[in-house]
Parts: sequence; C-alpha cells; structure tokens
Amino acid sequence: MDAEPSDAQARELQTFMETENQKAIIQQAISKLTETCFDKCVTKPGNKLDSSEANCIANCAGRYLDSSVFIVNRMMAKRQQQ
Amino acid sequence: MDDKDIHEAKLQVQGQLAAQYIQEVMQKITDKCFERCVTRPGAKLDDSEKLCTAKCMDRYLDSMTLVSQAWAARAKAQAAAGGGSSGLM
Repeated sequence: MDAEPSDAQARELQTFMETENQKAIIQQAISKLTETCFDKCVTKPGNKLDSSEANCIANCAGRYLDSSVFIVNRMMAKRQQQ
Repeated sequence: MDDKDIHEAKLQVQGQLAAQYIQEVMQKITDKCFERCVTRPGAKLDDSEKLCTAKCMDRYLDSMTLVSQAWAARAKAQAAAGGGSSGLM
C-alpha cells in the first residue's frame, strides 16, 4: 500500500472536503435558525406541533431568509452609491 | 493509496462530522429545554420535568424538520431562478 495519495486522489479528497465543509456550514445555519424560530413560535411545547406553531415556524424560516437576501441586496446597493 | 483507502477516509470524515453535529444539536436541546423545564431544580428530575423536557425535545426536532424543509424549498427555488446560494446565509 502506497501511503501517499496520487494527484488525482488529492484533488478528489479536496473536492470532498469542500463539499462536506459546505454541508456543515448549512447545517450550522439551519441549527441556529431552528433555535431562533423555536423561541419565537413554540412558547409552550405540547404533544404535537399544532398548525399555528408549524405555520409560525415555516413563516419564521422563510422571512429570515427573505431578510437575509434583503440585507445582502441593500448592502450591495449602498456600496454602489459610494 | 488505493481507492479503498480513499473511500474509507471519506466515510471516517463523514462519520466524525455527523457525530459532531448530533452532539451540537443535543447540547442545544439540553440547554434550551433545561432552561424551560427545570426552573427550580429539586432533589431529582421529577415526572413533570421529564414530561416537559420530552415534549420540548420532540417539538424542537419537529421545528428543525420544518426549518430544513423551508431551507431546502428556498434553495431549490433559488437554483431554479438561476441564482447562486447568495443570501441564503
């Protein structure tokens, strides 16, 4: 067994690590957003997530993502004005 | 290195990342539900505290599923619109 990876293998591993890293970043963001929306929407956890709570969670996640896009766009517009 | 070694290395990395993620989620749920359910810690974790913690944990996981779905739907819509992932984080 050769301990050193070939160039092709090194490239493959590099791509693999980049993908895994990206996945981890997305998981972190989902985890953080879950906490934010759980705090806003599920004040008293019951036997199931009722429809108003589920709605609130879906809205919370959607509006957070909208806000994120809005802020990115606004920041870009501000920088163009300068 | 043969391809089998590469495959094993990848599995090992994925396993470690998954274990780390589960640990982080459990830590977050413990913090959150302890704070909500065990307001005045007594000599033992009583039944009502356990019930509250169980519900809190289950509803937290439900919430995580919904947030993941909302995220995935958004990512899909954005990809369909030809945009990159910008603004998703």
